[in-house]
Amino acid sequence: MERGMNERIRSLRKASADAQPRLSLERALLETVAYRLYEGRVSVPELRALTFKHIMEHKEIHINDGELIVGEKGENPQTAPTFPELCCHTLDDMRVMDGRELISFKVSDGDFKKQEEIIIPFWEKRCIRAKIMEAMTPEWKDCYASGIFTEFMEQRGPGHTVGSEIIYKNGFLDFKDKISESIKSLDFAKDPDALSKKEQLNAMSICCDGIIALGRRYEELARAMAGEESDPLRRIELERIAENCSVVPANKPQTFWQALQMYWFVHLGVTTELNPWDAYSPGRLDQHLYPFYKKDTDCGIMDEYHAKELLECRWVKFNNQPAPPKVGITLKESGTYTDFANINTGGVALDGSDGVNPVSYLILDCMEEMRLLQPSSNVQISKKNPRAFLRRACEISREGWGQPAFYNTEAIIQELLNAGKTIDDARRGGSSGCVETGAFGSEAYILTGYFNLPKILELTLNDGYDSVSGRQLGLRLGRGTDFKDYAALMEAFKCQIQHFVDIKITGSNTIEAIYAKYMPEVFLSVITNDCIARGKDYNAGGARYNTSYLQGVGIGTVTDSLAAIKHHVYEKKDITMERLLKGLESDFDGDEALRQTLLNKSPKYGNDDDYADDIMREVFKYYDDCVTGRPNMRGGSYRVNMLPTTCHVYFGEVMTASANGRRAGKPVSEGISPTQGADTNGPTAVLRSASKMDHLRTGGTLLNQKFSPGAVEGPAGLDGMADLIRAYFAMDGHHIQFNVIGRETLIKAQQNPEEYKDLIVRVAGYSDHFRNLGKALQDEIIERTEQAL
Amino acid sequence: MITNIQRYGIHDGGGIRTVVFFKGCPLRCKWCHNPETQSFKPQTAVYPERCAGCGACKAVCGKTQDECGGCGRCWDVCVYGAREGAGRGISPEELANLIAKDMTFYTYSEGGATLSGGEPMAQDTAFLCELLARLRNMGIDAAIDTCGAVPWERFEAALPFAPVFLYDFKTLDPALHKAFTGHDNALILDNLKRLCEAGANVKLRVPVIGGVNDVDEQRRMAEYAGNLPLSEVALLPYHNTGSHKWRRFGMAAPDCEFCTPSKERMDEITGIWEKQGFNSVSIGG
Repeated sequence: MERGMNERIRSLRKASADAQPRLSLERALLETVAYRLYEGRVSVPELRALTFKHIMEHKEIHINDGELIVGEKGENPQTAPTFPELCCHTLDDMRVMDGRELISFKVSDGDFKKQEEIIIPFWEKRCIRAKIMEAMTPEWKDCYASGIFTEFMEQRGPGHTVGSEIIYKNGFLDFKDKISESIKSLDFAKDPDALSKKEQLNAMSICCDGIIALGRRYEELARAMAGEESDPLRRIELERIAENCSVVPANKPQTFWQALQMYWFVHLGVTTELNPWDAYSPGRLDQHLYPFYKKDTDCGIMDEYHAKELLECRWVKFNNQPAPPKVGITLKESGTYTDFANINTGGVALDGSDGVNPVSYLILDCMEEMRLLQPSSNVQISKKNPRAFLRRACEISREGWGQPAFYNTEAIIQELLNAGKTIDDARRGGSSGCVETGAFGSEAYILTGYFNLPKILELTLNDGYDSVSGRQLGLRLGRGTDFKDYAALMEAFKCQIQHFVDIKITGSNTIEAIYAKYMPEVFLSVITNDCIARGKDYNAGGARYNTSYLQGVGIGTVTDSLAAIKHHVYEKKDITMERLLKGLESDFDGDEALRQTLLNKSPKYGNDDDYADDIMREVFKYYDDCVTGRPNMRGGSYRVNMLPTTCHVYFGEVMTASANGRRAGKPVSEGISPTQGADTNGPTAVLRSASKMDHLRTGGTLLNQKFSPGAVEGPAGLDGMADLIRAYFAMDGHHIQFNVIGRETLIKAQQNPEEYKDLIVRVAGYSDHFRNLGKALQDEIIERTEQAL
Repeated sequence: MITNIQRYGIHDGGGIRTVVFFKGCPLRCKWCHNPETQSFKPQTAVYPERCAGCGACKAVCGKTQDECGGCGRCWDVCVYGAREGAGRGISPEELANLIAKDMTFYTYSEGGATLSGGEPMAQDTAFLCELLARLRNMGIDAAIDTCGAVPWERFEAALPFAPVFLYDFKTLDPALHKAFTGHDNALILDNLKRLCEAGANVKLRVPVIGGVNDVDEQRRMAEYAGNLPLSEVALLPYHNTGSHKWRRFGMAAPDCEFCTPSKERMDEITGIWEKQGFNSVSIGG
C-alpha cells in the first residue's frame, strides 16, 4: 500500500521511492562552461559565484504533476549531479557506480562519452582530490590506505552545518543589502585583507543573484504552465506556486507555504553549489515554521490538513535527493543513499521554554505517515517537553524503522556551552547528520574522518607493524610480549593514539587550507552567521564558530579487548601473551578455546561492570585529550564525537582478529554501543555503561538499542521506552535510537530481499532499506543484542 | 540465594524494575516457568549444543548432573558456556547495591525492585528484613512476588517495611491446588486475608492456565477476592516458555500439558474480574 495522506502525496511518494537513482552530468557540464568563461579573469570566490549563478540560470527546470513545493537538483527525482571540481570520476568509477549492486547510479551512454571527452580532460588535474593527494605525506597516505582513519574531504565538500531562522526573516535582496553594507565598511587604507574581503563579498552578492534568478525562472514556468492547464484546481495551484516564487527567495516568506518553498530553494542552492557532507537541513523546523503556521491558521488561509499536505510534499522533496555518488573508501565509510538532512523537532525555544508546539506534532504525524528514509527525522527531548510529546515520538519509534531518533536537548546545550557558544546560540542548536552537535546557522563544524581505535590497539601489540597491509605504520614500541604489565601496554597504546592523531590532524589542517584557498562555499556563506560581517568564506573561518571533528570508532571493541587482556594475561594469567598474539594472528586457528574464553569469560563494556567501563572511560578520555583543543586552520579547534555511519564495517575489514574474540575482518562495534552481543544485562545496564562516558565533552555520541517487538508492546512497553530515554538523558546521554525488529525477521529479509523490499532499519544515525545494505552490515545488525523481556 | 537479577522489568510492579529471582520455593507448580528456582540448592544447567567436548568440566569434578552439589567449579572452567550455574549466595548489602545501580531509572519511571523467584518469603527472614530495610533507606520501592505458602510470621516480619505484595492466586479449589502445586491453599488464603486485615498493599496476580482455572473457576475466584479489600489484579496467561529449562537442569518436566488461553478467553476473564470491581491488567498476552 502506498503511504501518504491523499492521492497527490501517494503518487509523489511513489515516484520518489520507486525511481532508480541516476547520475546527471548537467551540472558538471554547465560548470565547465562557466570555468571556461571566467577562470583566470576573476578571483576564486567570484569564479565560484559566477559558476553558481550560471548553473542557476541555465539548468533545466521542471514542475512535476501535483507538486506544491518546486525545485530539483537534477532533472528528475533521484537524479544526482556530479562535482568534478572535487572528485573527477574516472570512466572506471562511473562504470562501477553504474554496475554495482548496492548504491548504484545509472549512467547513460551519452554521459560516459561526455565524461571522457569534456569533463575528465578539464577537471582531472584541477580537482581538489588531486590537490589533496599531492599534498599529503607518505605516512598519511599509508595510514589512509590501511584504514587507520578515513578522510571526509576527498570526494565531498566541507559542510556539516544547518540552517537557522535567518532565511525566514531575510530574502536574498535583504542579504544583498547586508553585503553592500559590509563592502562599504571595508577599510582599504588599513586592512590588508580588504581586497580579498571585497572579492568574497562581491561573490556572495553574485550568489544572491543566482538564487533569485532560479526563483524567477520557477515563477515564469509556473505561470506558463498555469496558462496551459485545463484542470481548474491545478491551475489555481500553479498560480499560487508562481506567486510564492515571486516572493521567495528574493524576499522573506509571508506564509507557511512560502516558508517551506524558501527553505527548499536554499537547500537546492547549498547542495548545488557543492556537495557538502550531510547536505543541508532546516534544523529546528517546528520552531521556524510555527509563527507562519499560527498566522496562516489564525487568519484562515490554511488549515491543519493543508499544512500537513505541504509538509508531506517537502518530505518527498528531501527523499528525491540521493547522497552524492561516492566511490572507494568514502563509499565504505558512508555506504548509503541517505544524505543525512536531519530535522530536529521539539527541544526548547530561544528563551529556554518548552519548544513543543502544534507544528511539532504535525511533523511527527508526517514522519509516521511518510515513512521515508529522508529527511532523517528526529526529536530533541528536553526535560521541559511534555510527556505526551515523548510518548508520541516513542509510539512512532517502536514501529521499528528507526525514526525518530532521540536527542537530549539539555546535553546538546551543555556541549555547546562547553565549546564556547553563547546560550542563545546553544538554544538555537541541535544535532545534525547522525548525531553531531552544532550551533545551527552559526557554526561550521566540519567532520574530518573516522578514527579506528581498535586497529591502533592491534598495531600496539605488533610493534606498530600492520600485518594486514604489510606496512610499518606506528611507532616501534615493542610487541605485546615486551610489555611487562598492563600499565606498560596502556602507555604504549596511548603513545600510538597520539602518533596517529598527529598524522591525521596534520593532514586535515592541510586539507582545510586547500579548501579555504581553492574551494570557497560562497552561497553557504551568505546564510551562515557571520560570514557577511567578516567578509570571509565559510571554508576560511567566516562562520561565528569553526570546529573540526575527528570521529572515534570501535570504543566497544577496544574496551573489551583491553579488558580481556588485562583480566586474562596480566591478572588471572590463564592466557599467555604469546598464545594470545598467535591466536590473533591466525584468526584463532586451532585455538577455539582461546576465542571462547575471550568471548565468554571476560568483562565486557555494556553490562554496567566498572571493570570494563573504567577502561572505556580511560580510552575515551585519552582520545579526547589528544584531539580536543588542537587548533584547526579556521580559527577554531578540534573536538571529538563518537559515531560510525557504516565505517565500523570497513574498519573491521582491515583488521586481524581482536582480543575480545572478534574474528578477523568482522565489523567492530558501532558508535558507543557495546560490542554486538556482549551486553547481556538488559538495556538499563547498557545505558548506565554508556553514560559513564563524558558525553558533554563530545560533539555527539551514538547509541543503538535493538528491541524485540514484544519488549515494547502495550502501554507498559511504551512507558518503559519513554522512561529509559528520560533516565538516560538525565545521566547526560546524548542520543539513543531504536530498532524494533525481531532477529528472525531480519534473517528472513536477508534470505528473501524481494519479500522485504520495504523493510527499513536503523543503521547508525540514519535509517536505510535493509536490502540496500551490504551483507557484512546486514550481519552486523542481526548480531546486535536484542533486548527482550 | 539467588539465581538471577533481571534489570528492566516492566511487568512486575510499576515502572522500570529490577527483578531478583530467589532460589527455593515451597510449591511445585506443574506450569512453573522458572523450575531452577524450586530447589533451595545450587544447580547446574547443561547446554549440550554448546559443548565442545574438551573435558575441562570432567577434570575438575567427576559428578553427573544428578549428583551435582552446585560447587560451581565446572561453571568456571567451561569457556564454551555449556555449563552455567543457578544459585549463588549474596549478602543483603551486595544485593541492595546491585539493585541501586538503576536508581535513575526508578526515579524517572516510579519503579523499584521486585523480589521474585522462587519464593522470596521463604528466604531467611533476617536476610529479607535487612534487604527491605536497605531498600527503604535508599528510597527504593520494593515489591514482593509471593505464592503465599509460608508461615504468617514471615509476612508479619516484612510488614513494617511496607512492601507491595504481588500475591499469586492460582485457584480457590483446595484439591485442584494440591494436584497442581503440591500444596493445598488453606495457608495461602489465610495469609491473604491476614495481609488484607493488616492493611498491606496487596495486588493479586492470577496465572490463567488453560485446563486448570478456566472461566467458571475464575468467576469463583473473583467473587471470593471481591469480598476482600482488594482492587487490582494482573492476569497472566499461561505460556509454554519454561519447558526447555527443565531439560537443561536435568529435571523431569511434569507430564501435563496446559493451554494458552485465547485472546477472547482473556477478554472474558478480564470482564469477570472487572465485574467484581477490579482494575485488571493483562500481562504477556
